[in-house]
Amino acid sequence: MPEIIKLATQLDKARDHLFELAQNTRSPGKKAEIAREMRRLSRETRRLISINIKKRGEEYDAATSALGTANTRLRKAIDDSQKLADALEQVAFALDLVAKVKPA
Amino acid sequence: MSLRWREMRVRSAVPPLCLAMVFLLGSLGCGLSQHQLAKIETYSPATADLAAVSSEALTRVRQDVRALQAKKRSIERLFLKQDEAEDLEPLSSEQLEKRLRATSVLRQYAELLDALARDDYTPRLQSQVNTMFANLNRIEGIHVSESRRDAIGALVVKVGGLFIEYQRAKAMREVIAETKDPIRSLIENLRADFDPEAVLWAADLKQTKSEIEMDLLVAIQSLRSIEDLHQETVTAERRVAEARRKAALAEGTVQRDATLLADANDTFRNALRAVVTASGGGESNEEAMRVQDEKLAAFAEAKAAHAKALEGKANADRALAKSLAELQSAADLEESARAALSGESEDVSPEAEDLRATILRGPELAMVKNEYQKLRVEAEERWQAFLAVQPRIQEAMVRFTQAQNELVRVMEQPEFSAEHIDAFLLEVEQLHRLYRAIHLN
Repeated sequence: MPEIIKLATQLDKARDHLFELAQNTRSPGKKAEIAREMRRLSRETRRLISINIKKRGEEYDAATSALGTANTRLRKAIDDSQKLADALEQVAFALDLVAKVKPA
Repeated sequence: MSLRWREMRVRSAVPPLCLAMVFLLGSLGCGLSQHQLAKIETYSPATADLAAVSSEALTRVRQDVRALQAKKRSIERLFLKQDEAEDLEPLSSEQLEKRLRATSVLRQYAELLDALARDDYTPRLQSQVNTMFANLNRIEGIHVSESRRDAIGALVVKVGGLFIEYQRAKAMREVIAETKDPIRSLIENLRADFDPEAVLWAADLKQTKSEIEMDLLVAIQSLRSIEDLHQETVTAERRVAEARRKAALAEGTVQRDATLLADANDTFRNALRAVVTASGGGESNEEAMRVQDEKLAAFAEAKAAHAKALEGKANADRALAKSLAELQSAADLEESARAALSGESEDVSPEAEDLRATILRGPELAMVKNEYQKLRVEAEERWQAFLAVQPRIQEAMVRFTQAQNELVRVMEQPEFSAEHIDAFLLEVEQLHRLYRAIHLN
């Protein structure tokens, strides 16, 4: 993270510098050259943003996957708390059946 | 509560027949404490808030960038060659989806934790126990008295509840420990995405804003109308006039300093002659020598001033030459443009063709500049709106991080803390009471 911020600061400085140059240059040739440099810097910055975002996207995926597993586990724990009541229900059902059987 | 007091309570609460239950409780461990449940309760709203704020901001930044880029492209199409406009979209829908999915799963996680913590299983168990005994009494030859039935039912609900509590606490402790690192990673990534200083999500909005500013500057400089060119010639003429004035001033200074230098030279020569005449004359000779030194110093000073004036004149001449060259260039450009417009130009160089094409599109230029200026204002407003949301995002992150750290901390506490032991003793007492109630009935 500090490296990214350092790089962003350098990119900002380079952009500001080109801006200042563009504003203070009168020669048409120099102006065109500065404009080309500005476009190149923009293109490279955008590519860098794209690479970083994709890289971070993989980290988001990893976190999502881990949390998804945790959520499955929590859902199972919620279901498990129902299991004892289900077991008692089955016993009650069995007793109901027994009660319905008339002695011979 | 002192240790001795606890021992006494254990002894009084646990008769020999109840040892099996104590063993059962001991082997199961304890459920969650009220303190732990309270932390889970505060965790869920903090997480929901962070998920809502961050997903909204992520989506908003992408919408802003897309809207600005679309307008930017439509302006670019007016004056750029097709291959110059590059289509690169770092904030893709796929990447947004990844981030929204992560915040959504985090919110679900908090909701499930909360649901599990709040799950009240007692009515369900009690209902099934009642049905079970009702069915049991319907079997011929079997009858359980109502009071005995209530006591056994309460014991079944109690022991079943302890089992559920144990399972619930175990699942929560394990899950919270396992998700600690993934959640930290998720939050760090969100924080970085919203950091205006990092080359990530928010940076694309900042980058778009800068590109629009740059395009405006380039447009202003490259898309010039005949009036702009004429204005540049007029400005260059003003600069030449100013340079001429400075050069004339410098020339005047040089002339003045040259006269002063000549005077100083004459005075020094006279002083030198006086020294020769007075040589061998005692006191008058000494006075002549002193005057000579004085005049020599004045001469040196006048010489230095003259040299400086000459240097100033040279600088002023250079500035004048530069201004004249710029004026010539501006005048030539204006003349070429006028010739191009009238169709009288014989210049067929690519530069002249470009100029002709640019000038002929004069009516569009004002519109393009105007559109760029409006877009620059819009980009600035959108960027400021993002910066205005920043404190809200930070607040949600701080609140969530505190809730997460607190939750992890309380869940990592030893299972048999003082609070747990007190709860444990209470459970033993209750079990014992229920057990006695069955025997008494």
